[in-house]
Amino acid sequence: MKFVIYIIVTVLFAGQFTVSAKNKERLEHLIVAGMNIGATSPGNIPPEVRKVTAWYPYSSFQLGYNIVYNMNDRWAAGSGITMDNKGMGVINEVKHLYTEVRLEADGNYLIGYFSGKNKTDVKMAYITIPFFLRYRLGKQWRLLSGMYASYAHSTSFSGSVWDGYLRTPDPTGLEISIVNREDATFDFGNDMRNFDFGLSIGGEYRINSRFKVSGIFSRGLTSVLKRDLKFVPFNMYNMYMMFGIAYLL
Amino acid sequence: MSKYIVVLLLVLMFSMIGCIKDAPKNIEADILSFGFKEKPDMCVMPDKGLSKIVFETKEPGTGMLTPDITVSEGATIDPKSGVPQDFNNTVLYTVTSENRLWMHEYTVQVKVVNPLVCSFDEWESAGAGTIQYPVLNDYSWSSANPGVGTARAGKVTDYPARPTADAYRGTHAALLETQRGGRYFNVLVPIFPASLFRGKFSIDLSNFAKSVKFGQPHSMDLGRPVLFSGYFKYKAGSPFYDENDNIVPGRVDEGAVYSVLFKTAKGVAGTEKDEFLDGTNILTSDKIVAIAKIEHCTDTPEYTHFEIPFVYKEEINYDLFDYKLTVVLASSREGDFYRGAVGSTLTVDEVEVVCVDF
Repeated sequence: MKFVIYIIVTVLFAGQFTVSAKNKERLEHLIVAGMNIGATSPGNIPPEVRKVTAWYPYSSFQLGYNIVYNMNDRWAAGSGITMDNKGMGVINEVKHLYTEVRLEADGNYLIGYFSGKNKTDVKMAYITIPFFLRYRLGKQWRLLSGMYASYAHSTSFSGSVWDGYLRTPDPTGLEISIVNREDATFDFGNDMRNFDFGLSIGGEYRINSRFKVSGIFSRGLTSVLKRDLKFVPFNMYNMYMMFGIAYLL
Repeated sequence: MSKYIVVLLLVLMFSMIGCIKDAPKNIEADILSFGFKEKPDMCVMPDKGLSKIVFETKEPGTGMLTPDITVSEGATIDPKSGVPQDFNNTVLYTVTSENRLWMHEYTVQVKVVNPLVCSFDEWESAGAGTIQYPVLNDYSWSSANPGVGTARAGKVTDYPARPTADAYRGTHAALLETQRGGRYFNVLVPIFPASLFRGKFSIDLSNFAKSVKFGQPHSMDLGRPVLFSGYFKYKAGSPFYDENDNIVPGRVDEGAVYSVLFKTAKGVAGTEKDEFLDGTNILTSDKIVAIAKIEHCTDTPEYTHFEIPFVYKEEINYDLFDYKLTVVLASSREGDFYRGAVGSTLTVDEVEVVCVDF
């Protein structure tokens, strides 16, 4: 958290403290707004997932401030601070997925291997600090690449399983059929990491002297789930495409 | 140049969508069905999680038999299906899952017994992991104990159906005690009725009354059931709860002790189409052929003998139907519908269904 505060302070006051009056002309201040559309998913779909039946984005807006320093005609470096919401839902069919489910209303938990249908909703609200280099390709186009650090102030990772069966506590144990969608749920919201760090790449198109549109793909390199969480037996990474507009102040 | 950037962005978009892998190797290691080439009518589909398969026959000398076994997809079994074994002794089978990580050991035995007598003397422990519950050593009987164990995640001191040393004869009798329930699997279960029955139990979350599957095959050579006898004691508990968890003042619980013979389609036993009666229709189904029932199982402090003739609704005809016989012992008569009194206890010993040859 200290790290984040340090970065925020650095970024916000960078202009005032370190940039001379002459260099100020080289600075751009931008308001950026956009939508994150993508998935929080394993880097590779694990073999336990047999079929992805549905995917839907959650309203995942991004709103922030960027400051960009033009080093020369071609190159620029930027940073900023952004309210960055990421989220999605997925319905899939799994086979022998090791998990823990809560039997609704009585609060008891069952651990075992589930085969059947699964719905997972992931929502995260981050404060994100991006760092990027920008390269001018022509009159209109710019290429962006860099990295980001995010702090999550709110997370949820929940869902339900149905239309299948659970072998508990292991594959040689009892077979419990779970039929209805309301019967068994899971919630690993408290087992998510606060931090995400990753890489980004994308481009922007200058519409006029004030407005630009951009598309930036970001890929988390840290799993959103804590490492000691046994009940999702694979790492999950943020992979989101941000479609946005930027307004030059 | 701009084209390249659009293409790059599209490639990035699609790179987020991984590919579905080949199916993982199966982790299950179950015997799905176990039968014998020499005896096509002896075939079972063992309940998942159980590790013992016991066949019962009246014919002595059925030792060397050739098993016909199906196992979980991709799993292997040792010794192999089709290799004759002497099943008068316990034969140990090991099923190994396709991914080779899970093993399930089964013991299989053919017992020469009179299957229609039960002394309730021999009990053992069954289940997996922390969920261990008592079962009768005679596997033609089942109880709802695995359901109670699962609902309470194994934290059970005394299961509703259990042995007691207070026997009429021999070492043990069956003790059935209605217990206080709660909310389980999103279903209000005010009481856990205790029952012990000839048949199978597997949890059906959508309809608990259908978790019980009453009936064991009753082949022609076993004869025509005529008399249902045994010894019982009963003590009604209190308070009496209805299915909505309301206490019903003044209502006195009764137990249930009965045997039912019912018909099924021919050749379905041990197959996917197998037919059973369940908690919703055990006394009302039009498949019922004969019933022997204690009319009022009320407070009876000392062991009392009962001997009830089967009352037939229609004649047995093995040309048209197969038949199944069940014996149901329950501490609360309306337990299938979650109506009963906490602490109602039924103790039963030396049960017999007397049959005469056709």
